[in-house]
Amino acid sequence: MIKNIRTGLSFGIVAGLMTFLFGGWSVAVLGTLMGVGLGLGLGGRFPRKDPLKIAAAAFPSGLVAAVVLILLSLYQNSNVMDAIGKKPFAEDLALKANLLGFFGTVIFTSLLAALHGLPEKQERFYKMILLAILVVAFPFVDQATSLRWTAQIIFALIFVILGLGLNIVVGYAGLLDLGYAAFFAIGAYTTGILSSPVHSIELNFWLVIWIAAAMAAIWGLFLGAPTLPLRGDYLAIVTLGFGEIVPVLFKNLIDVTIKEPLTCWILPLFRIQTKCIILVEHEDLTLGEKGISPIGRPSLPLLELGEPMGSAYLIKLALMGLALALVVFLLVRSIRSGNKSISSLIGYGVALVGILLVFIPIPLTGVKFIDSLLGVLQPGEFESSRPVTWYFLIIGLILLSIFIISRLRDSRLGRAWMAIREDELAAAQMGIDPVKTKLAAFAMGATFSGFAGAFYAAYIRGIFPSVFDFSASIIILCVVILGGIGNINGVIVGGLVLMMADRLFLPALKDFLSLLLTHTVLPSINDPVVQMAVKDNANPILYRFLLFGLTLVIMMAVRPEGLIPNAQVRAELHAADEEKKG
Amino acid sequence: MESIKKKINLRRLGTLAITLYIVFLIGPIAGLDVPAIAAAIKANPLQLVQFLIIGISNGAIIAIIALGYTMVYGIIELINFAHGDVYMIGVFTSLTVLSVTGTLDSKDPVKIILGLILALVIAVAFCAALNASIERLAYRRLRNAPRLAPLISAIGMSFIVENVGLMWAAQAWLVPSFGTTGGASQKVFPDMIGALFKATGFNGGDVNLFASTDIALRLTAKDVLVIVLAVALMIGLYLFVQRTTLGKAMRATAQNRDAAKMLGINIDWVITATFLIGGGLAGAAGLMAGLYNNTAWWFMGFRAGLQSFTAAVLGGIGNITGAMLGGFLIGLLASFSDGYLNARWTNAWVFATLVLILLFRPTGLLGEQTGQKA
Amino acid sequence: MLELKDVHTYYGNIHALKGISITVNDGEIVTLIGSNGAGKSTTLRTIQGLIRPRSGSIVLDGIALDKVAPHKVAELGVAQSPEGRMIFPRMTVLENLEMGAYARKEKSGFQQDLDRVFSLFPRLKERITQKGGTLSGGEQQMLAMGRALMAHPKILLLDEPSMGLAPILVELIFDTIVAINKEGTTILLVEQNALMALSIANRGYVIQTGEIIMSDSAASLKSNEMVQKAYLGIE
Repeated sequence: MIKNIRTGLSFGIVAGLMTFLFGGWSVAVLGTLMGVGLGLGLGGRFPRKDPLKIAAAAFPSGLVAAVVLILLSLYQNSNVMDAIGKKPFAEDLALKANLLGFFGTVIFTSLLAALHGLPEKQERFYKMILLAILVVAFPFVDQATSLRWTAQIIFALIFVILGLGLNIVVGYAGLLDLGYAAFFAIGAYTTGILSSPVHSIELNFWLVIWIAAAMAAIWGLFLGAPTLPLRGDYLAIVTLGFGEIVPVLFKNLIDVTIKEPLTCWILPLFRIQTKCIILVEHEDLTLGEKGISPIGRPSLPLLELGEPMGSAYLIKLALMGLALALVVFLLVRSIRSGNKSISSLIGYGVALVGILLVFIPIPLTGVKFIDSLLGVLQPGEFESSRPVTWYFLIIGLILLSIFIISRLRDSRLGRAWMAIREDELAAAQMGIDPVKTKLAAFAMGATFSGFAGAFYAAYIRGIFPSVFDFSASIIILCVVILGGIGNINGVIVGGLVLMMADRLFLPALKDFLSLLLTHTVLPSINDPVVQMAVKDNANPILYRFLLFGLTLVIMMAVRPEGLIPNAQVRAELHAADEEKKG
Repeated sequence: MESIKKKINLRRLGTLAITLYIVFLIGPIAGLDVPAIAAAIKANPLQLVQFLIIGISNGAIIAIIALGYTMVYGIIELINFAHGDVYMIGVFTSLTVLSVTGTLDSKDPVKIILGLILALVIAVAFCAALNASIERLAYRRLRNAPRLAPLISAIGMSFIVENVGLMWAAQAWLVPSFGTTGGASQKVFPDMIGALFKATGFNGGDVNLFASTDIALRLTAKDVLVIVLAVALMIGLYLFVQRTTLGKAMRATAQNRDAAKMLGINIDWVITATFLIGGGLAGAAGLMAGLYNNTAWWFMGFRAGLQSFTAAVLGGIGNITGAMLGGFLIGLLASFSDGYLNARWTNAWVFATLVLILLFRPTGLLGEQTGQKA
Repeated sequence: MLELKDVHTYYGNIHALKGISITVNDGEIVTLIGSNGAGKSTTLRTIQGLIRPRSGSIVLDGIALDKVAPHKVAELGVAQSPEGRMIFPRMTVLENLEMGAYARKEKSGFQQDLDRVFSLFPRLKERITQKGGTLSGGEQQMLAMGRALMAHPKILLLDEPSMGLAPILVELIFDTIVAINKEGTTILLVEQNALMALSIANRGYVIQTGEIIMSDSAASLKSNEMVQKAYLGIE
């Protein structure tokens, strides 16, 4: 019991401190997320029965967490805002936000914990539903509360896809690829070249994304092939090399001239006069450091539902999609298990309602909250100022990726990968062709990079070679290592945690600190030298590399299998420890 | 048997031929325009000698750093990714010492010399300690872990040390010459050798020991100093490893760790000593590089590390003489690439060299091990 | 001099030594025989400190060895010619022997011990500047033993010295072992070649899948029926 209270306390403190950085409505969102996390964490500590009992048992922890959160949030609004020289949040809004945060925490903690009391299949089912609701609702909530986290989440999700791809190479096949960003670059540049007015080719994004993925896959084969005879360190170094050469290539392909060497200078050496064959002359392929921009964006054709493409249309579309998915899922389940339970009936009911919703002109106005939502969803084009549509596109890409990768993992190819990861020689003797298997790993891994690269290019509207350098490869590696090598869920969590820390947390911390310094700390320091020292060094962005480096070192030392480990990899990594003890 | 040997040789030759063809086909994009280069050499032969001098001088620095990589790899089969960054720290350390002691602005030759010696001593000591700490913190506990773990940890350490360099370069309150441009920009490492010459009036105050009429070719005191110092360090290390007990213990540990343990060699100490020596050398290389190239940049360790590691592999990883040879060769490669090809592509060429060596002759030029390390 | 009591050693989860008890008295040659994988080398590695036993005690002249680091064990007077010889391939014969003397307490007797090694193994003196990796199998075995002797040890552990050697060399090696013992060095000999081992030893232990199944004088073991069938090839 005490242990659980302590967990609740620590969650509350962490979330509460985070409100210092963001303020405003963040307490509501953080409260809800914290509730989910706390519930998930606590649930695992109880035996799998009696959900109501668990809910009650988890309640005090949730309460503690909520109280701590609110206290810190209120302190933030009253004192901290002062210290950083900002006006506090309006009283009535702050009250609403804090109440939402409070109830969000308490309710979701008990709810998520209680789920653990259900039989495993049901628990997973409800967790899926909950996750789906959170995922779908998030951008709307974000917009309404003007937290503006969606753009950063999209960025994080791009790296999640990259992580999933790298996970195939490093996690499943055990090949340490330190130059993975090269494929990201290839995907992005393919998209850029094919859908930008720069080269007068402007193909549709929905076509280009597949070309980019295929291009990346082909290059996966090319760059993977030379590494086939190498192991361990040397493999890593060579991939590092390629990872460096590719961005340099893109940076410098601004004056491409290809002459056929035999005719142009080898034969003339022997006085055999032949005409020099020039294949390409002074082509500016990648525009070098200027980068390729603007890049075309996807457009939403979608179905015609007999009404103008307004916000209500989109919401209905989303609901219908969910409902259909639910129906399919339930059908499949009941066909497989031949079981008709209450949850199925409820599910069918919900699905029916969802489908009907589409055809019923339900007035979606009347609540201020939803009004602001309507402002968000304008039809058609993807614009960067409205990240919602991009958000759903990348969620779709991620779902597609998860689907493909989990099928791969459980297929013969996936097992072949794991076999060569453990012992290549033994695998070869069992009839697994290491060449084909490794090449397949590189190609598949690169494909997802291609997807991510295409999305990135279209989202950012312009690509520059400096983005794809060595540190990008290492960041992606960090995502996989932190999250869990060989584990899809792990990579997703790792990607979200790491990228949110890097792109959301650090900049917010920087803003917070600089305001804090300007208003409170610096005026109280007399020595100008010290003042300068403090001011120059209180910039968390300076410590980015430290963040990634420490992640790698600490994870390797303490928990090399990652936050959410793959059971097999965990066993492999700790077998060595067992040997030492022996 | 003969025919199989022939087949394998044919295949290797074929692969080599195809690779060379592709290199020459695509090479011109990266500046490898052979006829143009030949013409340039014909037109200005002195320039070739100048590039040679630059190549050997920089190569000497690369060789010193490569020694650290090769010694560590020889003894624990780990690529110490952070080694290049330790060298960068050496540059910053010596610059800071020179700044804090007031040597940078001094016109007194004795003070300059004392300042330089102090900077050398502190840079060597600090980098030695840094390298040994990195081993202690990041690699020691992973000695029995699967090979990927210490490699990943090494990359992490490299990032950390690079960040330290970035932060250091931002401390304008400590070293005023850093200026207010922030940590990421290149900093100036003043030409102390030139200042020394001016202060003593030696050689008429001119740091050029020999210069052609159009100054296309100059041999400066800095070149001589760097090369002499580097050769001295290399000879010193060679003698140490060949003649002293600790040196022999290091070689023994590298060749068979269990046997070394059984003979009473304390492996932990030997490994620590290896890191200390490697780090110290990197520190010295840092001062030398600062005096020679007159810049300090938080990211310079990456490029230096890449070049030095390639040098170590080229010479035969684990082989000290090989590292020295490789260093000079890579220095020349980089110099010629900067001069005749295109400086933007030099990193790519060095990496390409590395890849080619690993594919076609992984044991390097002087290497003795056969077969792949699993 | 050396006493192992109920030593249990594990490789990860594999129980390699299951309660080994061995005694070696001053001046003896004791042999440990058994088939492949029985645990003979594991026993020597445990004594040397390369593996730490999970339980049991190892005592050398009153000093406990079971928790001591390998380099300290060597300093305490335990020298080994290991399985596979493990000589340093890129160091010369002389350097290998110098390394053997690394742990010795009294540095003064170095030249004496060197001369002694060369008189025992004249072939090594001929090849004194040759790199270890270029020696033949038999010469490498001599070098390994010579290197161990350079430590002027209290007890010499020999791990399968006959492995991979032609019979005439095996005879030579074993004659040398007897000579070394006559000069006063205690020896624990681990061997697959039970016949040779039992002919020069005072006492012997038979180890099978990690357990000592027999312990007796060498002569008795040699004439023991079970031993004869299983290890001596005599039907």
